[in-house]
Amino acid sequence: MPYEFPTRGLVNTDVLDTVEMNGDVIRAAEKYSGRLNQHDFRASTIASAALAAGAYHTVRQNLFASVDPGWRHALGSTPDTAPADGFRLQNDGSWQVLDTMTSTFSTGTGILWIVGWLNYVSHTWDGSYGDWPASILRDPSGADVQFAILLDGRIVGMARTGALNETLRTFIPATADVQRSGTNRPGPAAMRRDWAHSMGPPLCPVRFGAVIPVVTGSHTVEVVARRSTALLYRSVRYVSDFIVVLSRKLFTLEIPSMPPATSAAAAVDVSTFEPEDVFSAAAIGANRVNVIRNAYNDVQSGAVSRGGFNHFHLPTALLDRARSDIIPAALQTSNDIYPGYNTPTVAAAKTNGTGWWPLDDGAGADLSTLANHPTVFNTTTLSSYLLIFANVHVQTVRATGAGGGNHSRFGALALGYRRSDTGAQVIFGNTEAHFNSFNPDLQSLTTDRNIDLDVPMFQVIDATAPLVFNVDYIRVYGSSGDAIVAANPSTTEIGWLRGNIVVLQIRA
Amino acid sequence: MADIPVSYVYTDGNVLVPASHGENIYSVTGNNGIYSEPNGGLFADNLVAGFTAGSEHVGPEEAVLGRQDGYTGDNDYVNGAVGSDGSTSFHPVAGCALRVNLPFAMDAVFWMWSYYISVWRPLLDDGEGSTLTGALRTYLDGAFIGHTQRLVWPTGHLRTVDDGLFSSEGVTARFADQCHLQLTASAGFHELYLALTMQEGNFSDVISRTAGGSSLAVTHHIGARMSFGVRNARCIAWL
Repeated sequence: MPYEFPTRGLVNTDVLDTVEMNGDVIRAAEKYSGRLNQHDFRASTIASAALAAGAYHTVRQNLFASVDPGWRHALGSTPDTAPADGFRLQNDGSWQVLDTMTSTFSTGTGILWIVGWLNYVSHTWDGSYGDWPASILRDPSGADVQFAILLDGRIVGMARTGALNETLRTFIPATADVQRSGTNRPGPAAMRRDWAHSMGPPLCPVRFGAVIPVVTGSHTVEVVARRSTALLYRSVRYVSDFIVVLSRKLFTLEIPSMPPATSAAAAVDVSTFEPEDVFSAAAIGANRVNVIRNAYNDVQSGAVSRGGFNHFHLPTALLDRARSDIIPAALQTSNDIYPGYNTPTVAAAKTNGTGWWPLDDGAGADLSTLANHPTVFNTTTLSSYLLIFANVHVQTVRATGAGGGNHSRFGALALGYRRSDTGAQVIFGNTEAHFNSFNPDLQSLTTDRNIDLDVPMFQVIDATAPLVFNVDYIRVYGSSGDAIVAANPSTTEIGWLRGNIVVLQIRA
Repeated sequence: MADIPVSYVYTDGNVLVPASHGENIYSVTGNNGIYSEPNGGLFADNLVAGFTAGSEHVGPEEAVLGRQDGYTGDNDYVNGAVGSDGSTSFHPVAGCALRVNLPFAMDAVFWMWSYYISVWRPLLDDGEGSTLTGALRTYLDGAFIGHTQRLVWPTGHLRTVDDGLFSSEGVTARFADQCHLQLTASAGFHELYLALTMQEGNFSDVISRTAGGSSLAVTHHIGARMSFGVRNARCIAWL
């Protein structure tokens, strides 16, 4: 029973009975001793400051590797000189754990919210096989790579970036007018074409995730990758036909449902009345009623039962949140030049500049939290994490001048923020999401088709230790370029359509 | 300030007043009783200084809850499967959907959905016609989320000069992961799903097909297709 009542109210002419007198205090004492529950508290009892760290969730992984892909400056010309901290996949079709993308932690029973993000490059993009990335001379073939989340040694099936059937080729939905000719050909057979079971773009960012229940114990969460099997059908293998994973991230949040108890037990100890005990002011007052009353006036954490607070009692889970989106009426383009890895240069104009351009809708609105969140994100006094998600529909990457075909050109989007103290804009190098023009026009080979790529972005700002500044806003930037060593100004253009950005500020 | 006051002081030698004693035990009118106050009357003032609510004190899914659903099988959708008005009729993609019951109103629900997709979308040579259009959208509680629309890229190329057929379906196949933040979600069921549309109709063109070492140019009616691999939808709801 959630509610407790005295057995019977004392009235005049009653004979004092130990059973009834004990009934006046014992269950109230028992209730305090670890049984206070959701029925015992008023709404909004728990202030935000009264939540222990990890009361709602615990960040179990915030792993990342920052990799300069090398565009616009030379890193070397052999496959072995892939960027420092890049992870090169072996071509045997097996799953491999990416460097830095693994850790083991203990949880109670609950769920894990896992988010992975990475950017990869396939040297099938590199027509000269071996130059990194100095010379891109021909149209790409598919990268054929899959990524997945590995939980305790098992692939999380629904977080795998491909299709399971790796032997079935796709079909063309076409019906022949005449299925048989004089030579009985071509017959009614379906036209099979490409293998499509893995990620094909040679240079592409990808985000993936899962919400998975786990039981109490030790868990290992990892990001794994593999070249898929159709690749092995190729008769000719090039030494440099390999894939390198560039910047990458793995974030895991534990949301407990049956966590281990952390608070010390609390109890109130009152003795029972026995026959022939002296009934005195101290016996009923100081030793019993007052003891219990005092306990209820200073409720300890250990007095509250497991799950004793529900949503009526608790403060909001998010410290702050924001969302914003852009829906341009027409394709927006910019040819501002990629300034180099981890370089927070913001272009002065949307065209013919050098640096990052804040993506906009062409009607005065940036893809920024500022549009719907005019106040700062408090990172100076709130111990927290800022989780940033963004998606942008990039329709085109195309050459607008001399210097090679479209397929050698790349675009890049990145996340950045403005500091409240200096007003400086900071652009995270490890959010740079690079992609190339990977949809060739197979007839002309001179122009490319739209890629219509959804570019995902993800970043975690760790503000568990107070920062010296607040975050004014967070927004999405874009730039483009060619992959040659020397700058080739304004010969590449990216075009984007719709996009959105979401920021969740969660408790540390 | 503590909330349960001393309403009746016991004194040796005085007659015990049952009604006053009763107020100390269970008060029907005030904030006095050691039984009546815990029956829903405890609040912040009753908590010890420095009280902290730990994770074990928060009821399961009373502050944050997560859900996921999905499908790992393959599905093909051809443009003839979409309704008669291909330009505006959006068709749900099986397996990339999530229906969640929120037991109480939440401050925010963060939705995410992923899908592996490859596309056959034909593009005819100049002079023979345009292309079949297609798009993907996401709906939440039946309403289109504007920023989620993604156009479908062309992959099929039918060449006039030699009736050749080329495809970039493999190289353009990709895994998408989109998201949306729903603010102030009401109690009850909420549903998110990915939907697609492909333009109705088909092209008629000659394709040269090869079998048994010889080729034959045959007129085909050519449509469009979207194929899905692993996909899921998930959400984290925040009190």
